[in-house]
Amino acid sequence: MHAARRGISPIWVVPIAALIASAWLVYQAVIRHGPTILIHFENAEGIEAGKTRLKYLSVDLGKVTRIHFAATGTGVEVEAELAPGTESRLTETTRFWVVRPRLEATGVSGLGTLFSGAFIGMDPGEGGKARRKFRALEDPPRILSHQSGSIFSLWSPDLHSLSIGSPVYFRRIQVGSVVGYELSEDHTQVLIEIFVESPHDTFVDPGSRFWSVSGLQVEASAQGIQVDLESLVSLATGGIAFDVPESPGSARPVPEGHLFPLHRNRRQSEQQAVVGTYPFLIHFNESVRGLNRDAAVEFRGLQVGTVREILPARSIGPGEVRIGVLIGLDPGLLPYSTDSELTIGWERRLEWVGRLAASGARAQLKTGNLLTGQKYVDIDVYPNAAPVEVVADMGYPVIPSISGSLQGITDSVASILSRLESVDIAAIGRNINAAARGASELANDAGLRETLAHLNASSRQLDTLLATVNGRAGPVLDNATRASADLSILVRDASAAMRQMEATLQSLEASTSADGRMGNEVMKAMRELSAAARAIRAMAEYLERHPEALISGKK
Amino acid sequence: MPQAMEIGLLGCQLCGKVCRKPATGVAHCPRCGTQLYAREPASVARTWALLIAAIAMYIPANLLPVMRTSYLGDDSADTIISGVVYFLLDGDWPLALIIFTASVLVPLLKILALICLLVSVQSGSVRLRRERTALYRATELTGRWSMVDVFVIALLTALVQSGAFASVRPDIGALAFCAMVILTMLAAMSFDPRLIWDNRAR
Repeated sequence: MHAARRGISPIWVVPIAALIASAWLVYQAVIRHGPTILIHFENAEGIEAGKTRLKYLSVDLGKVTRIHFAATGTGVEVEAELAPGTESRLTETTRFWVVRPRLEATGVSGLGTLFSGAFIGMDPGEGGKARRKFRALEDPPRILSHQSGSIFSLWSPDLHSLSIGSPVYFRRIQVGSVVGYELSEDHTQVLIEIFVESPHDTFVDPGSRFWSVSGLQVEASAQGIQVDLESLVSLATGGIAFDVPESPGSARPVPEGHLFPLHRNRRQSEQQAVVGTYPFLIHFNESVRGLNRDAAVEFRGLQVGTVREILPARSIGPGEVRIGVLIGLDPGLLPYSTDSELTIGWERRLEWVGRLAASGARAQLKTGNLLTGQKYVDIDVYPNAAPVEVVADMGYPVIPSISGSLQGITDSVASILSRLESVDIAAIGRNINAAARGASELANDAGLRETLAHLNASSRQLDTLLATVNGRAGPVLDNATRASADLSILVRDASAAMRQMEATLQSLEASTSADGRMGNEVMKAMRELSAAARAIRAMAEYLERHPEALISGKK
Repeated sequence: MPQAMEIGLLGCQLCGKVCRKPATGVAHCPRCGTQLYAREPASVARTWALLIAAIAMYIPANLLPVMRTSYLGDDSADTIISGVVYFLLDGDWPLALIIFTASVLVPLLKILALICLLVSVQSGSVRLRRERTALYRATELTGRWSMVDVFVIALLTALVQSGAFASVRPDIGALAFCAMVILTMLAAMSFDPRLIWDNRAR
């Protein structure tokens, strides 16, 4: 009664508190709606109105409220209500996609949705204009906005066996993945985008080399047979590896839009970088068997380019066929270079080829590996090369060529063979035949046989004669021995005489040299002596020839 | 017929014992010791206050989810009405009817009955006093049965707790509902039915 009289009873606190609580609750739940957004999907597979949730990092952010067909075009539009406070994260960079169980070569994801049903994944954007209408991604994004790292672009003539999600290795540690690829605008290259996680992305330097580690690489090239395998995962999914040429600490920042070439393998990446190549054509008149695309174009062992394409053979005259080989050549790596003029147009490049050809440079097909028969294009300087006129074909300057080394051998063998062909082997055969026939006739001749019989008889008589001689030889020899003993005495005497004569001569010489009084007489004596000596020699020779003269005397 | 107050008698609000009113001072029930009043002080004001609080709570209790079930990662929240609709669509209309009656209709009727009683007492109406007293008795009796929903949620929460597989937990709506039921019960209790019988001279 007292309280009532005084005015307001404290019991009124209760309804006031209840009203405030109720108002707050209702405000939270009903009035304070989050933003409503529209997401365009290709199809609504797994999405249910009132049930499918929107999640970011597995945190519930909202719910699908309505699904209807898109007003224009194909697909469905999904209306979703997000939790309050998410407005600032809904910008043009916000991405949505459906999370379903996914089985990929690189792994399994979204297994939880097997039971709970699909949900819509969300990756809030950072900055950009606010938005309420979105287009959902076909596949989950590879990089979420909270992941830090860098994206690098590579170019390659083809995709190798890469796919989205293929790993990127640095020293065989996975540091990122392939996040996208597309054909270049002119459809001549594939541009591949890779994401390298922080902090590994700081190791990537403009000089870094990227190469494909796709699958198992067995390569027969001019250098031999090479087998490469990076990891079992890359065997299935392909992959990219990179390294840094310098120490990691000195990595320079990669400029925006820098394109790294993706090499076919590590070895190729380690070769001299062929930077900017321009197309040139080489005509070969020989077989290009063993020459592959991407085969090296070398200048004295330095790679200066690669073979881009081998064109179909074309006939250029009776019996003459040539094959065009399109190469990509970096003129900066060759001597006789140049300036930036080469980039201007093929006419200027034609001029450059003219200078090149004038200095004797010629392209040649060479065998790099005898085992595999792989060939490469060699450019070298042949000062004695016959001058040629430099032309352009199909818009490409043509680098003059000479036949290959093996081809040269083949050519000379061919020329020998052709010369051999001109020899009339049949005539030679005929002659030989005739000669043989003559010989045979001669052999069968009766006269010849008679002659031979006579010859036989003569030799028999000769035998008898010799036997007789043998029988008489003993006494003859005795005589001869005696004669030779006499001869030896004679010779001894002669020798003594010679010695005396020598002494005499010495004294004579002394006297003659002292004065020439005795000269003539000495000379006369000498002449006589010489005649005597001649007589002795004649006798000795005679005796030698006719020892029987000792017995029978000179005839 | 004279009123008890007029002939100096007081009825105990708790045990119902009829006592003689003392000449001065505060009377206490000789049986249970409760303080005795001829009329509850500020009964109408208190009832109004509690009733307004209950009405305030009635709105979130019906709008907000009372129960959140998660089954294999699939989360869903249910309000009382969505539960009723669920059972009705499921063909389980008797159950839907029970839930609807106990959780939606009865509290609403209770609130309406109390408003009706308060308005009639304040306007000094003398009509249908017997019926109004019967209404009050019914209101007081049915109060505790409105808690069926809360019991169901409490039971389910205790029973279904299988971690990530399946779980049930009460949501904010259950709290509001609970508060609403308690407030209507308190409002009904704070209303003094003897007020119905005042104002005989009209």
